[in-house]
Amino acid sequence: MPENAPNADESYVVVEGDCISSLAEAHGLKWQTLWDHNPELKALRKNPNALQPGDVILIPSLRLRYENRPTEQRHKFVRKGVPAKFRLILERFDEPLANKRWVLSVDGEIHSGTTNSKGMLEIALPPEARSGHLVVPEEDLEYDLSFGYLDPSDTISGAQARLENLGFYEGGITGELDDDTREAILMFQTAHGLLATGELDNLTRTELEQRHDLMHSQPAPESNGPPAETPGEDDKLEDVAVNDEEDERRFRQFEQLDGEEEE
Amino acid sequence: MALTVSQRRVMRHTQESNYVNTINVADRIAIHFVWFPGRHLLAGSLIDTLIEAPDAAGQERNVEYRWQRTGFAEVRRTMLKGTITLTLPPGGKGTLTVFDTHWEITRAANGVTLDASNTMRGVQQRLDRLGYHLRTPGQVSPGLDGTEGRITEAAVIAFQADFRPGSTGPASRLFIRGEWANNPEITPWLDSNPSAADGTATQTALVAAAGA
Repeated sequence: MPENAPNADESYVVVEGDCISSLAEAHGLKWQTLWDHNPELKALRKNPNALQPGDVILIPSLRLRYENRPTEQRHKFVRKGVPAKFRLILERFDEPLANKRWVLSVDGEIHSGTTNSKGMLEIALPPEARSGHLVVPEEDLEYDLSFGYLDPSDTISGAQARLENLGFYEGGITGELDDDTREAILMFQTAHGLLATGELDNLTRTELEQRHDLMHSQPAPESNGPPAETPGEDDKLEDVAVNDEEDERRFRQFEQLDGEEEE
Repeated sequence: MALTVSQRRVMRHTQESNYVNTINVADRIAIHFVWFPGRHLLAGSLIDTLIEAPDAAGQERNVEYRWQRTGFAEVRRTMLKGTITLTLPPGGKGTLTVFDTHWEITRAANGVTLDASNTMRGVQQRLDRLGYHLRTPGQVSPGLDGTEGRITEAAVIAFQADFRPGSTGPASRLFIRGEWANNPEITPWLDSNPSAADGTATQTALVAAAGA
């Protein structure tokens, strides 16, 4: 199974709406491959779902892969897609909106369902999806959702968006630590028993993440992927081989379907 | 359908993710403490910052208050511009204690807090909130009946007198202005003043002062 040597990485500057899933999809990669390929960014952002516009991400080049197949036959190859997910917990005054019917349209596709006992809805989402419209008729709620526009929690814009989602802020996403934002931070700090400073300190940022980003019943996110390893030379080769098997999008690996061949 | 469609920024999640987005619907009531009546322009706002600004001794003058509603009680201090922000669901009721005064706060179930400002009852409600109590001595509840009588007329005249140009009013009078945070009809406290005892100007000032 010969392969050509990988070319130099391509640098990409993150813009609003990007996340690891959408960038991986756009470049024919699995999100873990892309995330692990950028250890500095991974250490900086920690959450692959929330990148900051301006972040620079290195895109590994694709490598050709060859598949041996008999001639005089017709073969069908299927490219496997990896959808992203969208999870949302709906609450009213900190109580879950459980068992509420919801309708979410994303790029013309209609999803619907009922929130679970934690007020959560979950759908598979095309990684490139940018916007959606959510309606919860029973609660008279209606939201325009911008997928991938949530900045990291240690940025002012990221904090503003989280505070807005949690009901503490309504001054617009300006990225400025103005009076409205300070007051929202003060309210959030007071409501969660933190020292009320009005500053986006580490404790406040962590609490914001806990309250907004994380499943309350689960102790830690696993989306940072498996711990990065530092393989030796042989391991690198093996790594590539493993990736060849697992990362079908990275190497444009195609799956030959049984029973699809024709003479 | 909701009256307004809120914009929300959210994450897409990777397949193996334990991350989630959270939207909490928690309309909050912001209450500003100001010295009233009279003009106390600070930073372009009529809202007095004396409560939160340092006093002559350099001590911050945030005021401690207690907020209590069913199953919930807390003691906090006022924030920027002397603001108190409370969570109260539609139809909810609670007691705010500040300066040793108890204020019964009730939120209308449908979110509407005031009649239209161009109705007599709406004017009476605003005058009452601003401290021009429409009641006779000994009367417990204000006479917000939508009928223009002697008491309402007296309150309007007092309001106009307080807000005429150059008036400072009795600065020691304190009032509470309730503002429903998510009510789109709420207008900010305007740096404008009615110039005469003109009905239209008075009404505009009432809207600006008490909220829509």
